[in-house]
Amino acid sequence: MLLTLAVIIGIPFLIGGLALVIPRPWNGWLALLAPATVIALGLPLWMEVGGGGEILVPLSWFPDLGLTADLFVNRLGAFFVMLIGIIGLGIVQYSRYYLKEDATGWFWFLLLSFMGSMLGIVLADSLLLLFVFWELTTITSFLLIGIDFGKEEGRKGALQAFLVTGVGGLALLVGIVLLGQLAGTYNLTELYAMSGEIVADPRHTIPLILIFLGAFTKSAQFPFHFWLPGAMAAPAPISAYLHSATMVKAGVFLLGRMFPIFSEAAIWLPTLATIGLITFLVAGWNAVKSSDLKQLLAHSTVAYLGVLTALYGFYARVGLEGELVNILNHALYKSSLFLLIGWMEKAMGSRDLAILEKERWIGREKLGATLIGIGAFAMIGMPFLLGFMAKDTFFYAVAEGPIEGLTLALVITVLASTLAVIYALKLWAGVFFGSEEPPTGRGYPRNKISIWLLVVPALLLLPQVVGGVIPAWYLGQVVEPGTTWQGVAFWQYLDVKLVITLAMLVAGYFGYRHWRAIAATPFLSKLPSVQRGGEGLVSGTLAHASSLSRMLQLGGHPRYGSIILLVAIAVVIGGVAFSGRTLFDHGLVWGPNPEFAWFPALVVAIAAVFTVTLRKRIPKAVMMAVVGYGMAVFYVFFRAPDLALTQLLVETVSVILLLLIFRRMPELGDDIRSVRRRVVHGVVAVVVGLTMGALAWAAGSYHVAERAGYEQIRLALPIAEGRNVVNVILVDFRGMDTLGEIFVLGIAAFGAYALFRGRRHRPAGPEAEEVKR
Amino acid sequence: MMNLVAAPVLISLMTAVVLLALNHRPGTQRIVSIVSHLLLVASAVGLLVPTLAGEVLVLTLGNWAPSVGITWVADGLSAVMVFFALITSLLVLIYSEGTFDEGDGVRNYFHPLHHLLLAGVCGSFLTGDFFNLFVFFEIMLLASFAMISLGARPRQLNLTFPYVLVNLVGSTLLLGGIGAVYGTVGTVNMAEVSLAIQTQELPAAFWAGVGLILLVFATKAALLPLFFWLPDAYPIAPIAVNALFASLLSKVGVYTLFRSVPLITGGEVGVIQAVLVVVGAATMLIGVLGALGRSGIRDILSFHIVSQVGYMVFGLAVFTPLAVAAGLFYTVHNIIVKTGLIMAGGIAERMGGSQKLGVIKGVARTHPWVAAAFFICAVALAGLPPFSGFWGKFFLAVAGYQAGMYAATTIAIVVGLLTLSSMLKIWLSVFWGEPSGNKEPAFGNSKGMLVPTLVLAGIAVVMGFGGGPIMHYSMVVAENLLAVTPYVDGVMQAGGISADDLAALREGVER
Repeated sequence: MLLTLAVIIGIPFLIGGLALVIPRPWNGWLALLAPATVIALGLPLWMEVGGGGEILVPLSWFPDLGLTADLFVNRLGAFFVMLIGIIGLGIVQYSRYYLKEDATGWFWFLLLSFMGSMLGIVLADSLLLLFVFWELTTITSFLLIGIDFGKEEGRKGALQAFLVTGVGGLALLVGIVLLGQLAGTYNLTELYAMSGEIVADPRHTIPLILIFLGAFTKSAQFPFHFWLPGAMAAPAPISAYLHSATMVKAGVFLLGRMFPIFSEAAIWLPTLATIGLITFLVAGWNAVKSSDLKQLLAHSTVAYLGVLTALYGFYARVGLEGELVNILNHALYKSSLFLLIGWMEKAMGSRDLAILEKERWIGREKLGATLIGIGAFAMIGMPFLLGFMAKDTFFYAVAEGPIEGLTLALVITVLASTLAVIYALKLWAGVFFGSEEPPTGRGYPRNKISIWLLVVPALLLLPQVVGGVIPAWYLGQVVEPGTTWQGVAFWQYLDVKLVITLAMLVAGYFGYRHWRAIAATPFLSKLPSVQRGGEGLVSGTLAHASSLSRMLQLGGHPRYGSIILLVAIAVVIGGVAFSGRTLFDHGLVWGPNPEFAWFPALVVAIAAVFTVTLRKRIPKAVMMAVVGYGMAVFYVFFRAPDLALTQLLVETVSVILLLLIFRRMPELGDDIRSVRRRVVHGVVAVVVGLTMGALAWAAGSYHVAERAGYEQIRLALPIAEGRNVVNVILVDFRGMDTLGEIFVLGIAAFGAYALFRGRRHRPAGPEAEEVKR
Repeated sequence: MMNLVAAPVLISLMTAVVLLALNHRPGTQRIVSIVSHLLLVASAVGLLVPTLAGEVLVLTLGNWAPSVGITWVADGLSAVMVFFALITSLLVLIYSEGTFDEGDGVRNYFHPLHHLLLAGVCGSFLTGDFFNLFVFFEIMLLASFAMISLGARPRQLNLTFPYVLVNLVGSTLLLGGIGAVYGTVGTVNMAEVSLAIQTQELPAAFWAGVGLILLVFATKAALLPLFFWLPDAYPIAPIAVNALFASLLSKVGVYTLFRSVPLITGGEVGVIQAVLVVVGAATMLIGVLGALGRSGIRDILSFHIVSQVGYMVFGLAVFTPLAVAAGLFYTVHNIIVKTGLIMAGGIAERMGGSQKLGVIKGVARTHPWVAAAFFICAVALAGLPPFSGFWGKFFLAVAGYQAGMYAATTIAIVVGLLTLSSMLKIWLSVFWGEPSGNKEPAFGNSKGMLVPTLVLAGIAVVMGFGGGPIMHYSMVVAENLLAVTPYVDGVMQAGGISADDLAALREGVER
């Protein structure tokens, strides 16, 4: 079983990778193999678990941390596998003829990777694994929306989709982590077993809300519904597959996966019903307003996703009846409609109702008209179609049984369904039943359009029609085993819903006739746009980030120096505070204390002040040398003659070098710092000096039981055989330090050489533009 | 076996000397440089195998005991850092060939300096002695000073001056801190200092010195508020140098924090933890906002380094094995991915002639493989699965929430989104769009540049899918790191001649 599931998930990735290296058109043929394999392997799965039952396949992942990559197949999962496979097969075939040379290896790679990721989502038992594939669909979706990235529209839509679903992904991640911490497992089947305990624990609310956020962003629920229409810049088959049939249903699928855990949670039903119905209504309204038919379909997709979301809420009371019918219904008719809009663009040269509404295409495109008609009627929920059964289950769920009275939910449902009638009619009647004869030559000539562009949607619509005529067998055996369907034909379902449906049809027809007037209603068109709010947030963040970024780096090295020195003082104070003692609680005596030490100390201090304040280079260098020689005196006091000698040597050499260099350098200019700044710098310098001095004194005057260097002194003569301990330390005990310092000097010399040589090699003025920046 | 600990440092130092001598024979210089780099990688593998099994390899230089001489130590943490630093820098070395202009004098200096820098970096990873660490810091710094100013354009020298200045101030402070530690506990050996902390009550001056040492490590790591030297200096350096610094230098700072904080605290954090959590969270947030506000490819990428260092330090700050393992995973991932990004972005920059966004467009159409490498590294950087960055982020989130650090952990998650936004800012303007502004299309197809970049992207993918075993070893390393005793015992039991042996020796002579 592991092999089967691994092949189902893996084969699309594998073939996608192959498509990168195999030239066109062979890679298109190869691509067909991926969904075909998925169907071939998925069908037995469906047979096995379709009537109930589960398959759990353990798979080790992070054994030390108790995380698994278990796979899990149940009815919902197997159903989605088949859905992804079957619609995927159609999409691949359609793409081959629709995109032609635009179907590059990269396109197939991305499309098939997306397919594999979707399959991963629906087959994961581990929420962690589910999340990995979840984000992979976000990534592949981003790249597929922007596949035509030369166009601004595509780039913008892709970015928006990525950011919105990205936010949701992060929320989902945190939700999963918190849920995992609450329950002690990330595996769905184990979570199912303990749903009672989880819901009883009040801490379940935050993870649940975060998981909702993940589902709502993915499924474009209000108020995140705006990204989906923006994603429609993608070519038709991608819109059909990702943004109608599968990816946007991942959010709904997640709700389906969470249902057994959280359906009893207090916020489950109210949240899902509210968000779902608001989405249904708002998106329906947007669809009524749309003139671009692809945008119309996008909005109507959002509307139906609202239906599916609301349904999961209501299922908490009425049970999971009609769960798959609704998903299947929408996936079939909506993806077909998207594909047909793709065909329409080629055949009619437009998908804008402002143009098409005037034209009468029914005469010329009968097959297209029939297919779009079936799709539109399925959208309305007309009898003889699967859409009718779906609508029936929806009403049943909203009314929580047979309709007995009006509730707010029912009113919204009726209202939004009426809007659905309006936009379905726009799509069909609007395009095919205008008055003027359509022009020739705006689209492609008919022989340039492959018949597959109609055959694929026709095949996908086939189950819609069958579904209406013989529902009991069809629904009972294939879609909803275990549910007792009332009868074999639509008339057996008729009750008060018939009245409502008729009223909706009539109202919808009038609405369709006057849709432009409705869309122009000033009150409704001024609804605040969430999208604008989101965009404002993004541009605001960017603007602030850019000023922050500039501000952070202001001031140059004087400021950086001040900051690091001030932090150093803070750290010293912090260290002292941490120890709980004072710097000098062990006394002040440090080494031999000759009475006249104050004299060289004073000389050093005065020379240091002059080094800083003098404004000419050569006197500065001389003063620095005085500081250095003063230090040598201290080495003598501390009875370290070789250190004193070394110090004298270093000071002498460096002062000579500095004087030689400074002769060739220009004089220093005046101090351009403001007085305030000079005071600040002066204070920082003095405080740092005092702090470091105090620290040095405190460390030096502290007497450890075994003094520093004690062992070296004892070992120098007998083992290292040297009479001068300092020398032994330098060349033996710590010889590596000396070697390192030799290299440091060497690198300094070489670096200076490279600096000057590099300069000489530079061709004249190549970076002029950059310097100006 | 123990001598292997010295191999990375000694090989690179010797190589650097040989390469200097070959300065006028560029062809031979390249070959020697790459061959010896392969040797370095082999030695790193040699260190990695035993240490990941939990062994601590200790080399007492000159056979002097830790209290007398210098010890070099390779444990899991050191070996992992050495290994990934060397792998990445090898790829940068191969890549670097394409980034210099023909007849540019600069390229002949790059190879020796590269190996000198490596000696400094590997030495910092491997030394077990604070003062010796200071020496390796100096080697690393001097080499980096020379590298960052290669080419010596006036603007470059201007912007790199703060880098030099801040690092020199840092060196001085580090020396002061080490001095205070040595004056109070009488040793600069890290393990001995750690033991002293556990067994003695130490004076204020010691802790002030420790504070200074940690401050300098934080500066090297570019933590808030000490990161200023980084975002201006890195992007102005040559591309290959930028890639090398991004992968190595700030990670040395991070390594030293990972190494020293457990040793200093002996497993019980407290105040240091509070400071590190706040600093880590603030660093990741400020760093990513700063990056978001930039408008050049490498400007953005370099500012991001700051943000990601915040992540790593946050992992350390949580101080549970899972969090430290996640921080370590994240560090390794970041070495790979950041280098890959700068290399892929660098190819685009070379083609467009400038790193400013908007100069070159549509690289994804003209050079899809460059774009693919960039994209993989970019989403990995943002922490999206199934790429490498996700595991660091995920386990950090798990550990952070487990430890009850809700605010800081949530910041870490949000920063992921901001990271994604800034990566998309580059992606949309450079890689998408109608192709234009490409002055030298040939660069994008040069195998020498493309192959190493793709290898890095490939590692990001492999680390994503192979998260399990890597996380397993990260846990091993993290547990040993936090336990402290394996490291300290390893060093203390290393042997070598100490003053105690003197007494035994005398006895032997007398007898």
